[in-house]
Amino acid sequence: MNTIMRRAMRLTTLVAAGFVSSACDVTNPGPVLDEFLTLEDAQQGLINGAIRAISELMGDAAYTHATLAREIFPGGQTGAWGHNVTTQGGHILPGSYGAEFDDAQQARFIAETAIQRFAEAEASDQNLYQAYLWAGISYRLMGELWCDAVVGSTDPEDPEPGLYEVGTQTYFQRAVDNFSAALTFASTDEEEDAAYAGRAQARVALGDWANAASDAAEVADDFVFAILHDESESDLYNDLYEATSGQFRSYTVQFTWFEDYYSTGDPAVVDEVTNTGDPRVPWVIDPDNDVATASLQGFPGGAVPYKPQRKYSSRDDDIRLASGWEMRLVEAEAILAQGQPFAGAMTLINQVRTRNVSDVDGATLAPWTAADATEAWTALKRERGIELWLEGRRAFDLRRWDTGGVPGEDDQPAWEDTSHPGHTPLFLDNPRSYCYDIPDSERDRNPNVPPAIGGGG
Amino acid sequence: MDRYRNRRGTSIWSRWSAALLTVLTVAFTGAPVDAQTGQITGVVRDAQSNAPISDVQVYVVGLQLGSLSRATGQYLILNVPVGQHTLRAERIGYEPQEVTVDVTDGGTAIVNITLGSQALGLDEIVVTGAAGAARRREIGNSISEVNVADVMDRPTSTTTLLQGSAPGLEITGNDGQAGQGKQIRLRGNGSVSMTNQPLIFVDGVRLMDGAFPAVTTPGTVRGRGAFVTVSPLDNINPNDIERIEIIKGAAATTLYGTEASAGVIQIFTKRGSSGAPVWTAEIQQGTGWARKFGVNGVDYLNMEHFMRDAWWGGGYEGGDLSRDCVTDDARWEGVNGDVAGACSWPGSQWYQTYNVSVRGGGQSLQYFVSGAYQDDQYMLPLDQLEKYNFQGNFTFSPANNLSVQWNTGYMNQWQQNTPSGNNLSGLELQTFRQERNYFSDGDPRTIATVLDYDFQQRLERLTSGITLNYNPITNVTNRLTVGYDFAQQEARNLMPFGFWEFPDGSLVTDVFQKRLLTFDYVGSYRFPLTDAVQSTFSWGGQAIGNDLRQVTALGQTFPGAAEPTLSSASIFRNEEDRESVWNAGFFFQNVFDIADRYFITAGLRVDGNSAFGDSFGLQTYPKISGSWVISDESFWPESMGSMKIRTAYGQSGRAPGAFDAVRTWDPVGLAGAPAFRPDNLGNPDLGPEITEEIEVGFDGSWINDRLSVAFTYYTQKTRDALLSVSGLPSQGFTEDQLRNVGELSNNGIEVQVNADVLQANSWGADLGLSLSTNHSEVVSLGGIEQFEDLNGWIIEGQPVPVGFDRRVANPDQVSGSWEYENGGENVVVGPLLPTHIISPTLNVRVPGNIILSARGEYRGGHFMEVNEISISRSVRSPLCFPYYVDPATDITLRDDTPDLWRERCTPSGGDDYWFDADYFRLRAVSATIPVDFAFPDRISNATLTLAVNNIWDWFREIPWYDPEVLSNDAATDDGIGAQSERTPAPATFRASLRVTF
Repeated sequence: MNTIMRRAMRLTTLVAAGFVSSACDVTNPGPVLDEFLTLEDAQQGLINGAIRAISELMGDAAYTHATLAREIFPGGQTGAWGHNVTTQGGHILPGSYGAEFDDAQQARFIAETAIQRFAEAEASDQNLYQAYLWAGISYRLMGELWCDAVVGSTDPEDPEPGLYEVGTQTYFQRAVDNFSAALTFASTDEEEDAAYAGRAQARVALGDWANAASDAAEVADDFVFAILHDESESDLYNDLYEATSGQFRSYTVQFTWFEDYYSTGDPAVVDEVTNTGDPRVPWVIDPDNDVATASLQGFPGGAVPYKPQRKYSSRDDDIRLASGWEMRLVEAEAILAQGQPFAGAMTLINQVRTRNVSDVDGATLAPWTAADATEAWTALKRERGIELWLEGRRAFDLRRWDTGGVPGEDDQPAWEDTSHPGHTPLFLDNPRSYCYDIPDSERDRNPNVPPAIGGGG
Repeated sequence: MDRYRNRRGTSIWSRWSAALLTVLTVAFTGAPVDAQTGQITGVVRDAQSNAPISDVQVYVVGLQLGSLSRATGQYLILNVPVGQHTLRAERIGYEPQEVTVDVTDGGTAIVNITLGSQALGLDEIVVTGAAGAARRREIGNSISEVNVADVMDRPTSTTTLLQGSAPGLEITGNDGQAGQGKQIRLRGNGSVSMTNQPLIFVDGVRLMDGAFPAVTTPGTVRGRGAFVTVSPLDNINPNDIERIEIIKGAAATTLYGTEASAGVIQIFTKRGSSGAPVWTAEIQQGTGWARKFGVNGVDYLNMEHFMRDAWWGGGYEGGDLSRDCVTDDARWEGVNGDVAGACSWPGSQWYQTYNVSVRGGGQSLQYFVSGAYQDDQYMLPLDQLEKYNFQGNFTFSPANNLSVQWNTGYMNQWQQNTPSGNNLSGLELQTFRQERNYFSDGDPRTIATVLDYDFQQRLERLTSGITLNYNPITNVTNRLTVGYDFAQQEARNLMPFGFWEFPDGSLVTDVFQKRLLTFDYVGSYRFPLTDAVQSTFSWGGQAIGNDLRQVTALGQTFPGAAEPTLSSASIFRNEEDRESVWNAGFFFQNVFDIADRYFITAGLRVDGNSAFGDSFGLQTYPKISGSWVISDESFWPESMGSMKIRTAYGQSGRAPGAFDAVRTWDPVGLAGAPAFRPDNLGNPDLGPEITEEIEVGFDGSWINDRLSVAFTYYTQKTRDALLSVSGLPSQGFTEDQLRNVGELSNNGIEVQVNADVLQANSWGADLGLSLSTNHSEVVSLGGIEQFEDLNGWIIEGQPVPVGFDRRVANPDQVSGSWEYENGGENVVVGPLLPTHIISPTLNVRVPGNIILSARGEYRGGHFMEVNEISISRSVRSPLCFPYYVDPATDITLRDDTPDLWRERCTPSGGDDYWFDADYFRLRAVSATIPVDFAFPDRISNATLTLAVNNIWDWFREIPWYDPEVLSNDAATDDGIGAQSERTPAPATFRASLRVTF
């Protein structure tokens, strides 16, 4: 090959390489590039990302924890809008429920990313308030819903894996810190109520009763703060509704404490003691479907009688995260927990209760009575169970009351008892859980977190 | 129209029309006869049987003049310049023949040619994987070729045509749904994260590979729909295909660069030939019947109620049980009168296909034009398909050193499908589960509610390419191909107002478009290095633009029962994907030809790709191969037949996805407001995974070419394998991130044997056998944990993928409970892909030139988890009927149930459904019968083909269902073994009458 040919080849190669490089310079629309998040226009989107993650989390968690807390009875559905067989039996398999952990951690991560970037961008107080508020809510939910914690840096860019912590105290402490920061940026009563309520909830978990009561007292009775659910896509559904929406009949109120408490379902039977028609725990009889979808293993006859809840009646019914009435119960519980005279607690409890009128007869609900502190605790637990029914709170309440050795009835149906009408071997075969375990997706990759051994709380 | 007029006021359209008319006139009538020319004609026959041979390419060497022989063997070449010429005749499978011919002014030279069959075809030209074109003897890698004329059972889809056609080629998919595509895999899985489906080219133009997406309802769990994924290959009319070349590994695909390590399939459509028009018309009618896929007396898993009886007037009639196929189901006797036995042939279908084509041309322009119409009714009640295909191929030779080939294909397909697969409104899901379904009711009239779901789609495809061959001086060739492939799928997925699942109505309209632009140039220069050594230097470049656009719109809650559009909905949700990926590269290659029997090829490809990370740069792929035609050596006795020994080494790659390299957030939205969630962590160093492969093998033929064997051993290694590394959930980015960290290997052998075992005047028999093995291994995961993918597990030291699950330790005991092996931890079950595939074929020629043909396929060495009944939901599974106390009503197990079956039939178990998946399937049996006697003389050839497909199988262990039924992702998925609730494909019978005149 002569010199000219060699030079021609070199030139051709260079030209070709240049062409190849330039031809491949493509920018695609679609996903948002990371650098875009530094712009002011993106700030609300970032906050909404955290809200969405919590919406997805609560859709699942309120449903699953209702099963753990025996607020509902499983119908046997395992796939879409159902639970696996062990969860139906009240047990969380060690290392399972990774998607919920992802949602919670993403909500926390997004909120902390927002805090960091908003501070750098000197964002508005409103946006900073939102970022701290949702960071606080994320931590509070992780504290209540999980048994143990993975505690990492609050710097979202820190590459170090988080540390394992037995229990979730740090989550609650960080929730308190974030709610406190949020309060410094709050500009309306509603914003303050949300931050005070969140901090009160976290302080309840920490056993800081005096400060919890003081935070709760700041919140108005009629304050309601809920997480948004939306029917535009299944990830945002209120799962508790969807699982009883007709074609999905995944669980029932039958056999729960709330079944008889609300109604016998038979207008001819009136029981003044148990059939209260309390509008906070409604269920109905579905004229088109008398049994749940699929069938429950070991349940006599297979198919489970179907009585769907109607606290939620659409896919976009929001689930409450906090309310003023819950705060009254926090104040009541603080009185009992601090050993103060229980009458004050009963007043607050009945203040919550008697604001409601019965679905059965339209009368104001009868107040609870208590002869001693133990009965007051029973009234508190019962009223809290009713007020927060299907809001994903009951399992944590049962857990902390059990841990704290709190007296009073828990109103837990004995489905393990072979003579109980809701008995199936599932409830004997599966030890009860009250919280999510750290999933394998974290345990397998984080050297600081031990493998799952028992899990499930 | 005015803006299309030129200055003289003549419309451009009219000028084009005039030009086209002229061209067609010349083309159909032949070019004007030159006073100094003559013509050559004759008949081509088989040297051994003396039978006429059709489709032989007969041409004058050195001139752009030629013709294809007809079914009678006759050929005609017009306007041959006066003088002495060399006439050459070529056809796949025959030894080329050259004869000298003298052409006189105005005279006709009659040259009859006899061709001897040649199993090796060493001088055949192949294109795929070579720089330009090459003779087989020069090529160091294996290349499989499918000559469509040799496929006797006349399949109506290209993927069916390819099934079992070449060793190392695995085509899976057997759903009984209209238009359902198939997965294609060559030499196992070379990738975990990226596609393992090969690249597809048609006449040098890159086609969309993979499959069209299944259009489902966004925002729902698992979606709602029919989960039908059409294969782009099936957009091509098999009648338009001349031959298919398949190269399987990196040793052969180097010059295709990035994206090609899963192999390349190139389709060559038919071309025109000089001479008067030759018309071919074919009509095909067919039917079929459902094959039993149930067990323990539930033969069709209760689907017989819904199966169409298109021929006999029964079948599904909107839930009227008096007309349903209710054979063997006494439960419905007495309902709506006469019931039992109302349908004797569940699932009968009606297939119709009509083809017509014409080929011919003059000296400088040859053409092939075809059209086809297909109208099929399948066995599921709503499944039907209508398809039109048009193909126009034109060869224009304006000068001796210049030719232009313009090929264009257009396809338009409409189909309707029955809601199917694993989703709430799937017909099979509801039917298989009987009273444990979402209706809590097994009555087919109740289940029929889901049939109000209307799922339709229309596919359009336009593929057009122009190839210029220009040879300016002796020994210099240039080929430039510019091509465009446009594929569009428009689907409507309607739950009408009042539909049980969404009573307010729901409509999805989805438009999916894929555009591929191909620019491909290759040049070569052949020159002598020494007296004995010729060198062919090639250079070239290729740029492929791959543009994807998909818009999905969902509207829900309509005001009433009127025919809705999206505009009439009250709730909206839209999704849009736009991705553009460019891959561009250039290459150099040199072939050293030593004495026409030793060949050494060395080449290098350099690629850039828009999906590479910013820090990555360009990727180079080297290749080197050698070929030795040992039978051309003087020491090789002629009695030893022919043999070529070959070896090849090469690399090719696979690019990551369009967004894999960059850090992104997902704009998920929140009830109408913007919202971002962490999406892809990004990796600026991301590059392609590189597969390198070594092939060693030989091609040999003996006993006068009556026995031929092609043997290949291959070993390939994929380094820098792209693996999805999961992020730490506690650090926010929970989506998997691709990294070049893994290493995979594949190795195996491929053997193709063809034996002409009987050759007599009236009788003949050919036996064919292709055998391939594939053993894959995850050599390294680069330090990451084992994970699930490809419908199995990816574990170091195990096949790609491997079954890894809990297995019962005490299967045969009757203890009332079960124990799992390894304390309940997962154990390795075995490979999920077949480790060996054997495809036998048999062609028998009997008196009357009737050819009886059969082809089958055996797959083995793998395992499969088969359970499409949801045991965990306490569904009564027919598999468990022998163990239930009362199979008709309850799932309570008998006390003497073996522990394995106790686990399988208990909702909290229901896990260990692993079976040795070896099976054999008789894919086709056919008879090809010449029926010229029934037609007038002007019909030169008439053939009747009777074919049955999918009529018999053998399973080693699999107790029910069908191992080739696909998951919801169907042909878009890379894994096999995951199945969905579908009805397996029926057996079919087709009769085709084909006439040529």
